[in-house]
Amino acid sequence: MDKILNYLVSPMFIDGALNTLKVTLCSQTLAILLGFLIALTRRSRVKPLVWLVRGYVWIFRGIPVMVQLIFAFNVLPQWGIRLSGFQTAILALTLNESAYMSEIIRSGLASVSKGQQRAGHVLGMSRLQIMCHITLPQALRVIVPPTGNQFIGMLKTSAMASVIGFGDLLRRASQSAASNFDYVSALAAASIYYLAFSAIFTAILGLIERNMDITRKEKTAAKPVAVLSQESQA
Amino acid sequence: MEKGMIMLKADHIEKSYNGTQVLKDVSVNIRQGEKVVIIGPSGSGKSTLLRSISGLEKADAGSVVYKGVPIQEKGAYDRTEIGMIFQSFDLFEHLTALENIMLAPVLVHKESKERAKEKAMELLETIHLSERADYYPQELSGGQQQRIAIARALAMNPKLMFFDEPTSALDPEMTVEVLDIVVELVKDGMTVVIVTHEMEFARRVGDRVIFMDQGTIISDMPAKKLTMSAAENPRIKQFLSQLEQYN
Repeated sequence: MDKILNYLVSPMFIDGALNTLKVTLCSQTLAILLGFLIALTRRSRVKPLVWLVRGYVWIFRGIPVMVQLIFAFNVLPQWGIRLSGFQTAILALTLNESAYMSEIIRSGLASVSKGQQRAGHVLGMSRLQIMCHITLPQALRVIVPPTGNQFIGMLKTSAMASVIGFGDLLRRASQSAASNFDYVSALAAASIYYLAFSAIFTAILGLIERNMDITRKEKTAAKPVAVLSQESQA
Repeated sequence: MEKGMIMLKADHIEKSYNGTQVLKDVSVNIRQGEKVVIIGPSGSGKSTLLRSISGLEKADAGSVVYKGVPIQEKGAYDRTEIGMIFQSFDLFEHLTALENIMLAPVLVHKESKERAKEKAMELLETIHLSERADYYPQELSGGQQQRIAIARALAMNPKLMFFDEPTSALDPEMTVEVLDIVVELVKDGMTVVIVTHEMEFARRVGDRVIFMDQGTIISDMPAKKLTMSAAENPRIKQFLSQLEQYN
């Protein structure tokens, strides 16, 4: 136990935990933004653009993340693109995750009826206004829960960045264990960090989801239930 | 604009979907203050005509001119002068009845929230739904939703209103609620074009009836003449008698 505790508070592990957290938050946030752009492009009427992004999703969703990481790490420098381990990890993880996020966002946008968008159009609203005030607010209800899942998934996927020498939690743990063969303590300490982070993500997600629902539940509860027989007075 | 002047002029409209021609060289004028009812069997092109002349859909050929502006060209006219009501109501599901009515005036006409709310409450009163201001669409009946959709369109001060089968998704009781609102609108002098299957309503509200069949206008007559005995065209006679069987 003492050993685990020592690892937990050691500068090496704290640094690794922060690196894991940084790479997770950066990659997932960028992937959401990129995924949104891809989802919008897939709704475009310009067919070649649609094929292009479908090809993108096919490639980045179909090739293992590990392959993409190692590719980015080894091939990009040969092409003259020099990135740090942190940057390489973010690049590979973002590209891979954006393919998944684009599908989640696409299904969210598609869940809003076309009729409402048409109604916005005939009321004179611009495409941007329709997106921001009609489509997106409703799509978010569908998009947020699986996105929370993806955040936790990214937390764990980021461990793969250790193969390219990025100093994340897993790499710090294996480095420690390599010197004294105490894999149990090192991996236990890393796992405690992973579990703590995913608990925090889950709690934040729960708060967001509850907030999205509360606004309407309160309004609904405050008034009497609509009774059909009272309606025809008009 | 004076009453009786041509407000909207559609000439030689053609429209096909996937190789099937839905509108064949259709021309129609709508005059200021007119109440036009479009009837005809399913698939005759009524709704397509409505969508084409309202500028919602681009026709393959022909021209539509609204108050001198060719509206087939995007953005060439003030979209909000033409109100449109659909069979499916299409209320914004994440907004209350009041917010549904306020949204476009605030975003498009840049009205202040206070002003938009005041006007929305007035509109809710004219459609007899003041007490439902804070309800969400899914908490309201179909008839109530459609009345709110009408109020939402009216909030933009349209000069011409199109109704695409506004009561087709409603049961008879709710149909009456909605049609009563349309009757009130018409009394106030609104220019309306309505696609409907409600013959009684067509006679009561309309002053001109356009009968469509297979993508063309086969009859354009005063509404008073729309009776079984007066209908000379065998196709119209057949259609009316089919409707009457179910009434």
